[in-house]
Amino acid sequence: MSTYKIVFTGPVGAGKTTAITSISDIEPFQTEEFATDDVSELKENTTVAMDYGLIKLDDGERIHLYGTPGQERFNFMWEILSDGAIGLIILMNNLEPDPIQTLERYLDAFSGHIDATGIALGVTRMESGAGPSIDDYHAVLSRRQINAPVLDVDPRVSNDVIRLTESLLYSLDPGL
Amino acid sequence: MPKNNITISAFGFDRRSIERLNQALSPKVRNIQLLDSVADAQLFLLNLEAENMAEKYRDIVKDNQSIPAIGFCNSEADGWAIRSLKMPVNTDELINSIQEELPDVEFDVPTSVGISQDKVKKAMEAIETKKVASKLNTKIEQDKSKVNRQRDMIKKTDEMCFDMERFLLGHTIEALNTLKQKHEGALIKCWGSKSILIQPSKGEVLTNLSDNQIRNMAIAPLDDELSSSVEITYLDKAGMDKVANSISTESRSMSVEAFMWDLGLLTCKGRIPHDISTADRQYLRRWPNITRIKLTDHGLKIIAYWVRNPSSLYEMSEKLEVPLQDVFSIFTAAYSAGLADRAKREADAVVEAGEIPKNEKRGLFGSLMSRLRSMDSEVA
Repeated sequence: MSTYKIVFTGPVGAGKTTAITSISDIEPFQTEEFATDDVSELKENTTVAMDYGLIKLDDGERIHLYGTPGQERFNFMWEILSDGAIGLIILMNNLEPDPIQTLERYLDAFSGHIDATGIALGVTRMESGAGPSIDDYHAVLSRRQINAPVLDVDPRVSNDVIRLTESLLYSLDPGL
Repeated sequence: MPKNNITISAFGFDRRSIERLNQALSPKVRNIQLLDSVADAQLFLLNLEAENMAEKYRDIVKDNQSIPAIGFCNSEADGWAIRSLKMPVNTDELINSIQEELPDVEFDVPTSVGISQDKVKKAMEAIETKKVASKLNTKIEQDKSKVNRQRDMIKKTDEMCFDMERFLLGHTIEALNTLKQKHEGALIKCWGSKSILIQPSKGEVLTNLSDNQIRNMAIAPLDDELSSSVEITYLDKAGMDKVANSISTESRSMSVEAFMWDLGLLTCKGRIPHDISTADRQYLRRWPNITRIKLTDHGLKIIAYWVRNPSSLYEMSEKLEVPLQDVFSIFTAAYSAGLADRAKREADAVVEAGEIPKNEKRGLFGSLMSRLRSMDSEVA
């Protein structure tokens, strides 16, 4: 049986752990540690190695869900986790100081993977109306000739994460 | 074993057209590389409709006389001593032509995309047959898109169309268009105290109508005796703040895009506005924000295909094998939200709407999709 995985990536506080929890069939395995650096101003704990969840399919196959650590000093894990993934979900926190710049960094870091498969971009914390718009994110992707879904997502809401994952699958294969 | 790249230089095309060509070719031949320079080219693709192409081509071939060329044209390529293809070009026909021009080059064709050497051979035989038939002046269909257009004209009936002006949708689109010119906001009053406040500068709609009330307002023609009348007032900044405060206690907000999408979808009931041609290619500017809008059964599939392939509504229905009403619904919703319009760019006319390449993981994706949908219904 092959190993299939979808990788959730994005900066600290974007909601990767919550998103995986929303759709995983198992209690997600987390490698969270007490935050001691700047991250402690955002949240108590932060992912240091990875998050792991699983979706069990009717035919016995399993889709592994991996969440990368948000802090860029752990970025050596990004390539390890994304190797061989069927798709990539990037989550952006719209309330961070410069989410567009952050997105550019993630697109650079995962460019090889994006060229080979595809992405869906979920933007969290859009409800306040502050921060860039959906069109602003599309403009960044368009400049890089990436035609991908960009969705306003609340990672606590399963339906939002399901739609985001569905959009990834359809953008990988509209013939589904 | 990886095959060498086939380097092709494209001239007279804009950037988007080259992207479209790349999108169309790369899933079918993995080692084709489109360049915008002459260096290292094994073949030239020329847009014969581009300005001064004859002069440019003369300059190009001066030092590259042995390099073959294929021209793209709108009708006949009179006076050109090169192979020509009519736009929009069929991708398979283009690949066959490239293979004929570069017979010694190895094409890296993924087995799953369904153009095996055998199929290519058959397609080439078919093209030869067509050429002979053409010479004999028979009525063999040479241009599939032209046939589609003719058939579309016949098929479009009154039941497929509706007059937006008779519905809340038409009035709201008109209000949005007026707002662009000179006002800050528009208040649409209906059913006494019920109203819709459109604030384009915030990209937001405030309304105290429930979902059911919006649905009822959307589907009932406004000229029907039983319908509520609609009154539109345009507001300046001060007027808008006042109205927003007065309705905000019981109102909810949504983006203009989501409101207009849903209104379009509810109103159309599988139809399109009567002034939309089913033969014209339409484009979808970008993915809509699908977590905040209503969709039809095949909505995601249509969006995923359409956003990459400007297509006529019939083409989409045929290629995706989904009901036309579903395509019409998604089109009307996207059109209402300002995300869709007639494709007029040069790039939209270069290649035919693409076939859907077979994906070797389709079975897996299908199983995952079923699982996600069952989660979706569990949540609901």
